[in-house]
Amino acid sequence: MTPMEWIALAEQGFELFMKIRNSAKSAGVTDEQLDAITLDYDQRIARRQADADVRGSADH
Amino acid sequence: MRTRRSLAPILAALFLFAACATTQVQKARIVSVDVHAVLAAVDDAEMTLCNKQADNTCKSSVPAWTTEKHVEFSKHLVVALKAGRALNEGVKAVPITGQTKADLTAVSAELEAVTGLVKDILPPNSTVVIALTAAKDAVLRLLPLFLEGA
Repeated sequence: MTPMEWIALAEQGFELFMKIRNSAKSAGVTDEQLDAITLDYDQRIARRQADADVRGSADH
Repeated sequence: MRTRRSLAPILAALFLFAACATTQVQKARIVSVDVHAVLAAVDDAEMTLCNKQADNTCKSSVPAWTTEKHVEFSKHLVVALKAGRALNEGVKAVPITGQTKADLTAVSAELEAVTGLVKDILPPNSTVVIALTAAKDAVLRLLPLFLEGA
């Protein structure tokens, strides 16, 4: 990757990061919002764990 | 009157301490929201790339992104997501412990590991690569903020 391509990519990444950060900025993050995030993590972990275990179960 | 005067600096110090603690807690909570957002973006981008079929195999638009690659990616992402979850639970507590800081470092390490997996396989304009770049950038920017707040 050329330096110019890397810079263009980093800019795209930074724009996405700023979008995310701006959406996260608020008067304050409540316990309820953190609980909702934990719940989302649980669902994602379960989905990924199932995919990560595919090879393990096939090997046995 | 003298008592009131002597209490004033103590009360001021207490208010200042409370204000600083609140700011630090809020900063740490925003860090957790940010980390979740970037991990979710990476998770969703790779899932879309995999294009999982009914038989649990990937049918990616990038032929080299095989089911095996997806499985390896998932193994690392599980660790990253678990660290992100632990961090999210950690920021609820005051004061924030060194373990919570270690959780953010673990997220960073796993993002590096999955970057190694996609290297030389996915094109630079792939959503997964862009999401990963954003995630690593975010964690690098958040780590010092988080250390100040912890």
